[in-house]
This record gives sequence, structure tokens and C-alpha cells, in this order.
Amino acid sequence: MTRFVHLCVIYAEMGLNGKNIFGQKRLDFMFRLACSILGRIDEAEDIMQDVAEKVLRRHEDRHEIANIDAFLTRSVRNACIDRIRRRKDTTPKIPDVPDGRNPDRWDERQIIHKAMSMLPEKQRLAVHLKDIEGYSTKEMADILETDETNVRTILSRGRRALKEIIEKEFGYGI
Amino acid sequence: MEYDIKKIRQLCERYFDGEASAEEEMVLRSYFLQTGDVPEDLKSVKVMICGFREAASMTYRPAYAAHRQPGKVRRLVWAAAGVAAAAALCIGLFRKDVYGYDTDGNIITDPQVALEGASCLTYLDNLQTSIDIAQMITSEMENDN
Repeated sequence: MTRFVHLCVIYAEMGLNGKNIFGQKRLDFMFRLACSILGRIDEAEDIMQDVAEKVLRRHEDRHEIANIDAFLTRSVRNACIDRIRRRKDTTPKIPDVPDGRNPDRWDERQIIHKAMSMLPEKQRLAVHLKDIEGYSTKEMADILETDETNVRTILSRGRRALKEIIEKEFGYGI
Repeated sequence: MEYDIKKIRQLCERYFDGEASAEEEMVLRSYFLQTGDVPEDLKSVKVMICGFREAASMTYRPAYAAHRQPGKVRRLVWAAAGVAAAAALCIGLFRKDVYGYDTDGNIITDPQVALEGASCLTYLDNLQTSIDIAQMITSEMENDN
């Protein structure tokens, strides 16, 4: 099967039947996670294709996925990291936002995505899972394959770093 | 709803320590989402809470598949039909008394007879086109495998 037909199948599966394979909730989760890591909606959509293809291939090969949320988190995270490595430094992070640091021209979502893209990867992931996706620390520990104490430590560092970035880079609360 | 700012600041500390309970975080979210003007030192926290809510509301809608090859086969069929139609039109315009030739090479002057023959040729042409298309697809599949 040619790649374009295969991709069409994936699009069809995700667009029409995605709810049956991933569930709309999981699709939204994957998309939001990619947005938080990459800071760009268009690149997040590209990541969705790559990860969906990978998951569908495992599904076709009938490989069991023990913890689907953990698998999706890892898959999206790894795909985003690869993307960031390939990305050229000259590409603006959020092209749909006017350049410059005037906070009046940014909405809160854009500020959060921009600020989160500046966090270390573990802190960014912890903040996303907790504050955007609403996972408990116990659920996060399962997904991140660590213990709850470590999750709280990473989360604390991430939130404080985020606050500092918003204050220094965007001029809030100074 | 009135909020105790001192209490809010204490909850913020617990939040940033990663120690706030789900209920305490809910109180914080409620305060920052409902309060327009917050103290200067809490403005950055308000941006965080509001930004998280905006980000949490994002949903995924896949874009149209970009790799679709539109109508290659269909273009071939229509091209063949167009050529056949143009040829028939030319013959009709310039050879009014000759409507075609039979298998023995004799001129056909009866338009009805010619039409029946042309229909047969059209069917044969379409069949050939279908065969060509099937062969192309088969070849493409074999190359991919």
C-alpha cells in the first residue's frame, strides 16, 4: 500500500473513526501535549500524524499496549523531541503571534505555551499533565514511571520556573 | 464570592510547593478565573491559571489529507472521452456524407448505422481504458511491495 493511501487511511481513521480507536479524549490529550511541548499548533498537528501511524501499526501488528496513556505520552514526547532537534533555530516558535515582548498582544494560552516551551522537558511534562490535563500525582507517577514524591518535586520546580518566566519575559507581577 | 487574600496567598504557596490538594487547587482556580483585578504580585499566577484553562480547552480536528492524488484515473477517462468526442465532431463537420467505414472498408452513409458502430467502438475504448487503468494500479502495487 502506498504511503499516501496509508496516510489517507490514518486520516480517515482519526477523523471519522478516531473516536473508535483512540477516543476523542485521547486525541485531544495527544494534541494538547504536543502543543505544550512544541509551542506550535501546526507542528503539533504533524506530530499527531506520526504518532497515530505508529500506534495504528502496533494495533495492526496486534502488539499489546499495557498502559495506553503512558504509551501515548512517551510517543508524543519522543516525537516532539525529535522534531525540536530537527527544527531550525530561525523558525519562530509561535508564528501566529506578533513578535516582541509586549504582553498586551498575547493571550494567556499563547503566553503559557511560550513559557512552557522554555522549561526543561520533565518540568514541562509534569506541569502539562497536572495543570492542563488534570491528572493526579498518582496517575502522573504511573505515566512518568516514577514515584509521587518525585512528581511533586518536579511539579513544584516547573510551576515556580513558569511563574518566573512569565514575570521576567512578559512583565507580569513585577 | 468574597475571597480572603491572605488565605489565597497561603494556597498559592502550597500550590507552588506541589502540596495543594485537589480542593485547594479548585479554590485557587475559582479565585483567579472569577476575579478580574488581582494584586500585582498575583498577576503572573492569574496568567498561569487562565492560560492553563485556555490550553485545556483545545481539541484536535485533523486537517485534510495532504497527499491525495486527485483524479488521475478520472482525468485519463475524461481525456479519452474528450478525444473521441472531438474526433466525432470533426468527422461530422467535414465529411457530412460519410459517416464511417464498415469492417470491409465500405463507406457508411446511414447515420444510424454509423452511430451503432460508434457506440460499439466507444464501449471497446472504455474497456481498453479500464484495462489500462487496472494494469497501472497493479504495477504500482507491485512496485510498492
